[in-house]
Amino acid sequence: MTSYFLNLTPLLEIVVRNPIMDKTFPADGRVAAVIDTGFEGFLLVPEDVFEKLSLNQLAVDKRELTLPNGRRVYSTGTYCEVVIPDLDVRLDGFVETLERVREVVAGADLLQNLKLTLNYCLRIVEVEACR
Amino acid sequence: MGTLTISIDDEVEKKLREVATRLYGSRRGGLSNVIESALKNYYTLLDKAASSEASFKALKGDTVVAEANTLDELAEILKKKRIEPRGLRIVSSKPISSTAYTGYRIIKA
Repeated sequence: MTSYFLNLTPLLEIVVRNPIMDKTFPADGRVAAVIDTGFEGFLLVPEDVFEKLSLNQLAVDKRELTLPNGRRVYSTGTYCEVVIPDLDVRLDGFVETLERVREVVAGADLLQNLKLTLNYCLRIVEVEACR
Repeated sequence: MGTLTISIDDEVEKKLREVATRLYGSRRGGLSNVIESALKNYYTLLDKAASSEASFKALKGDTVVAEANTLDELAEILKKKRIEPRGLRIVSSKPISSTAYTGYRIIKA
């Protein structure tokens, strides 16, 4: 199952790779990323995931993120590959991390490559690759 | 000039006729003009989406040490060249915006 609701939160199962350092998260299986169309970025991960992928060993960039309450913070990031195993989709994009982030978050820059249907009536999340 | 016979939803047709009348009055070809213009805009959007594929460069200081269309290919090139990946800066031809929103836009009244 690639995508589903956990309570009312839509999730997408992915694998995150850092091909440059040959690291994969999770090392075995998949991680459920929160589908967040309000996040304009590609992928947001907790700091420990960023480190497990050895992304902190590459030169990183910083950028400003505006939180929902209007507060501005700086994230740290570089590039990674996101794999959606069931769809055989591989996407390269900017992955960033921020203090106190606890979830893996898939944002609009990643989701723009997918056809996403959130059916809250039937509690079904459907994801397809763009043709 | 091609001629198409297409079927569209009643509501969409109603709106199309309203727009054509507003823009072109009762002139002949008004419907075709609106459809042609809408399709051109749509094609531009699709082309923009299709051309959003990026390429990547690996930089050591200011020097480009490898360049590829995907991160996987970039990693392969670095491996072949036996370049130590630690400390490399990866940049994309499609730069990220300097600021991004992480949630709802708050519109101040």
